[in-house]
Amino acid sequence: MSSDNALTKTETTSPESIRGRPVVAPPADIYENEDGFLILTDLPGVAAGEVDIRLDRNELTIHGSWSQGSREADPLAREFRATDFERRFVVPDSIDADGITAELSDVVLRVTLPKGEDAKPRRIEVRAA
Amino acid sequence: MLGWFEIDREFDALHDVRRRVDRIFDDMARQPVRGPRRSARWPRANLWDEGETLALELGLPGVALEDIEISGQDDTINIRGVRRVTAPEGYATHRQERSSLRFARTIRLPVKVALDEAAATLDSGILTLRLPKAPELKPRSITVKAG
Repeated sequence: MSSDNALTKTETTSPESIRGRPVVAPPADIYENEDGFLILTDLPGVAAGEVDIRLDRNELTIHGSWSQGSREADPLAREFRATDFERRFVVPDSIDADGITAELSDVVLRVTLPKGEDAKPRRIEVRAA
Repeated sequence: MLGWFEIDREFDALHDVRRRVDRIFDDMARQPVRGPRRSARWPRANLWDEGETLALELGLPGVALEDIEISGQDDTINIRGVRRVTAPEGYATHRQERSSLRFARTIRLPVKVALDEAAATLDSGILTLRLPKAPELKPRSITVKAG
């Protein structure tokens, strides 16, 4: 399963924060089947409009901003706060970049990366001579 | 040489092993959570004072409302439940960081609350519990009369 065109992630450490609020790498799952790759990642507090997915050469970046639950008043106790989410993945060349789709349902972002026709396994017909 | 009767018995023993293995797999399939993973600090919580109510926010990404159980008494709230994560069918797994887990946490509030009047909403992974303070603790205004 670990062929050199496998989808890999490049970082687990948090990227540097630019906006004065924490940036967190959300947990992610990577799956593969004949047709392509599937990335699932949890983005709590993030609306679909606040998810930004970019593919730059071989690097897929998922960015999300947690906008909800940011209250002005001081809490009595605080264990979590609104954060930005960012995670990068290195994708194989065989991905069909135009076919990438993403949907956010509840808190789970589902990014589907189809394989290009060249990368799909194919069946070769054997004809009787 | 084994007679037919012995062969039957041998097969019986094999069947018994098979039944046991089947049972193990059945149990595993029935168990939604792999391993006894538990975290005392999960879910994480924020607490706000809203005057007549306390608002308790719990970060529960990926947990369904029906898998959350809330109970409590006076100034104590118990939250327990399960987060179920299943791999999509027909895919091979390269990496799985989003894990199933069982959680249970008891939170001590600064004041007593009327739990039977509590309201819970789950929105994009955050459960908000609005807990009315016990009647004797609600803020009241005292009219000052000129003497």
